[in-house]
Amino acid sequence: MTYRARGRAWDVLTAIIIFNLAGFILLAFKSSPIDDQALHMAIFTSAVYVISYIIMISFFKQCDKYITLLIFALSSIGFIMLYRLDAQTAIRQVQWFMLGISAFFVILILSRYMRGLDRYFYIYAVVSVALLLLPMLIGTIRGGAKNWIEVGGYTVQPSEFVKLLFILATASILKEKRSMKELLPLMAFAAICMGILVLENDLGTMVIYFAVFVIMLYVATSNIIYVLGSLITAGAVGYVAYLTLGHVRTRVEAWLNPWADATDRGYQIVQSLIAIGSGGWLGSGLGLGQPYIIPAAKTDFIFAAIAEEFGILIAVAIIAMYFILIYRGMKMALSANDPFNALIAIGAAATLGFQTFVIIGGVIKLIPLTGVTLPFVSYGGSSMVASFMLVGIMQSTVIQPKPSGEVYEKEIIGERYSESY
Amino acid sequence: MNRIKRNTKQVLAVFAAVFMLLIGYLLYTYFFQGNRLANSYYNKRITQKSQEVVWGDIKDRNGEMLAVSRQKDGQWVRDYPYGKVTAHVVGYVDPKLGRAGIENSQATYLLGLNNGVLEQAVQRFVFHELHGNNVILTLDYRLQKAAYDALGNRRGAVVAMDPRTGEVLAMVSKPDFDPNNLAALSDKDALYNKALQGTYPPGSVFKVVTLASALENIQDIDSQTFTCNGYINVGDYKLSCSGNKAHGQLDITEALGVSCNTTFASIGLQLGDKLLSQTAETFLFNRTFAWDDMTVYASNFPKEEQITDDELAKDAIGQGKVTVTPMHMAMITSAIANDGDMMQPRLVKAVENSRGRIIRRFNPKRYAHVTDKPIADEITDMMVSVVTDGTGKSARISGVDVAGKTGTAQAGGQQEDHAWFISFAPADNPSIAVAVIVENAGTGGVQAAPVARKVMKQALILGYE
Repeated sequence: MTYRARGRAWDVLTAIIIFNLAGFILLAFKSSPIDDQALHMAIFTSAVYVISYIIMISFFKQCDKYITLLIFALSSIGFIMLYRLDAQTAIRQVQWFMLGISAFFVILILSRYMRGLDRYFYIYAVVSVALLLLPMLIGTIRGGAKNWIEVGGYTVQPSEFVKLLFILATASILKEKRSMKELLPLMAFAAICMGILVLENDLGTMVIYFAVFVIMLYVATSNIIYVLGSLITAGAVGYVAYLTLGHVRTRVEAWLNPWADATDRGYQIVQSLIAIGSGGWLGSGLGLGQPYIIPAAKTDFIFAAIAEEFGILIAVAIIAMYFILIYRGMKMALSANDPFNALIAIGAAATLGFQTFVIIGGVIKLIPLTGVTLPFVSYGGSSMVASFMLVGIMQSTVIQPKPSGEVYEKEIIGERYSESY
Repeated sequence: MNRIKRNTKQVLAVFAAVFMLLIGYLLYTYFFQGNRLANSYYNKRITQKSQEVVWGDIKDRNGEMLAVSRQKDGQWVRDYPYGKVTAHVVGYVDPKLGRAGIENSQATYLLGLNNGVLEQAVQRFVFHELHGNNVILTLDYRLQKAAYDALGNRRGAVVAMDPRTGEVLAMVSKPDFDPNNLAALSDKDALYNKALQGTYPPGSVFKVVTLASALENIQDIDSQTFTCNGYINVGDYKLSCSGNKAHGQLDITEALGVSCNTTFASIGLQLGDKLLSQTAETFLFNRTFAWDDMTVYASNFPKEEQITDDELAKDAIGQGKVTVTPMHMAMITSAIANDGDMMQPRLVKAVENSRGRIIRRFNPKRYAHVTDKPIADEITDMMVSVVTDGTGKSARISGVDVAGKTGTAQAGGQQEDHAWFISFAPADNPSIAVAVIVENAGTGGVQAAPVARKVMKQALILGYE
């Protein structure tokens, strides 16, 4: 690492800290008497960033520190916006952030000792399906989707965590050249997962699983027929769903013309667009807009809330930051040493990227709205921790497991992979 | 591995495209719809903000106050000095009825919602009161009053605009209402701005569109002679001239002058449905205009695959299923006056902050090119002879060439006809264009032309040139 490069990363961190401090201090001084809690938040979150960053550059030198910095920047905007909307939510979000980043480090540490993760397709598959089925058995309904379970007073969304297993399972099969017949178990597994998600009404997550699956399938096989076949099947299924499922049709109609029913079915999207239109290029200013008018402003629609108070330019910058995040994720795939790791990095980057597209696209009415979270920004424990875990497995792909014997050494350095492709 | 890397790059390229699409659509939404979204009736920010901000004033182009915030018993109230005269343009803010007019469409400016942080800080800490911005309209109160008085107690609408800039100088809709006393409102229909939202059969004023189509598509139209027996049979349908009057032998200029239905129906049949509807679409029929300062309902020209001949004959003389708004008719008139260039009508000229400094100016915008200059000039000449020798004599102004066209549109059933008049003056260098409709009043030449004349004359006296 050159001095220049080190300097640049620290500059970025400094900028993030200044932004973070400025946001919270502004919120602190907005109320009278001065809101001490906001000042505590400012200091605490900044400290968490600095400490996490030092851990990152000290112990995980191979990893991409800019990805971590991007996550800090995004989460900081999220914290500030959530604090502005509701202080308690923001405090809980910081707790989720700490849990998430801990999980991230644990994954990085474990990856030094774990190897042969590509051998357990059936375990991943069975656990995935079991976890996805849980909400149907003991779940609670939220926002029309039955995809939550209660664990010790907290609600958990298993489909967020299954993303991880789904990527591992898919990569385990696709790491080698497979015949059509060998791919069948994977196809069946993917179909079952998506089927369960449809039954649980979690359409947004289903679409993400589908897109990630198709992307990984294409990258591994280069077979455009698989991609086209999947897209055609999806189109047909989607059309049938539109014709038969009332709530799918409602969403499509609310997307095509939200103004036709602006107080009921189109309400969310209309309020979201109005918020985006009300903010202006530079936004109304933090604390000076009325983002609490937007329904689900803390979760699904946080992007509209940010656009209102921080402005269109910051909203564009956020989209750009997500793109840089997935760009750097995919770059890890390019430098990975074997197909399994490459596929995992691609899967994780594609999951985060596509999820971002689905929710921002829904909020700005580019595509029909499906309720998923904006990674690292929307409020939600499952989403925060699962997103960190995705970045964890993405980053772990560049960590060489510690050699623990001759056999393994050969396996990893040997010609096996290059032969199979 | 190499293949994986290549495919990864492709996937990345797709992601780059998708994210560019997100950014592009966000910018598009904000750039082209942001203003309308922010001013939306459903924007609760406006209702909330009106409680803490003093609404800005609305003025006409000469600084005449049309809406002001006044202090009354320690509270700010909205006052409309000219009440009924400017009611539909200026609009109102009412807890029960909502918002309308400029008070609605410019609410973000009037409330200073898009003021910068600095401006807000100055107001908060220096003046200790938040003030919105003032909106300066293109309207000229003196012309507005002339149009308002000329229409009198009759139902209808008047639109006057500068054909060169699209600036709306007067816009009246009757019946009217008193925005200072909305509680006394008995008929909610009075709230409705007929100039923008009333769709009427145009009758013979539509003949200028048919004429434009004929001049464009029929080569020898100028040398054709038509024979009018007072009616024409199209299939089983008998279409007759006003009062079944037989006009005899006439050319196209004379046909426009006497507004001969028979001749224009036969021109319509000569053109055929394709060409006529093409010209109508060029003149922006079947299009809703959603601009930041006004929304104009779509005028209608039938779009069916096959229009039967009797329908086509009716359409060509502005009957049948053809409908038009007074604003759209004023736009068409202005386009002919302005060498075929249709300017976007505008109500807002500028926005100034609470201390009188202009912060935003709106410039003329060419909206569409509807016909070429030679055709526009030829139509103008024919419209001049409508006023000198034809049905529009009551719009004559001494010393000035006026171009005009009358319309007497069947209103359906036993109702009296709608009286239309479109005109502009001076014909060689037009500075004002007017469209007038008087509902169920009778013939255009008698009922509507004098109204247009008064407005044009007032404009010329006031020095619009």
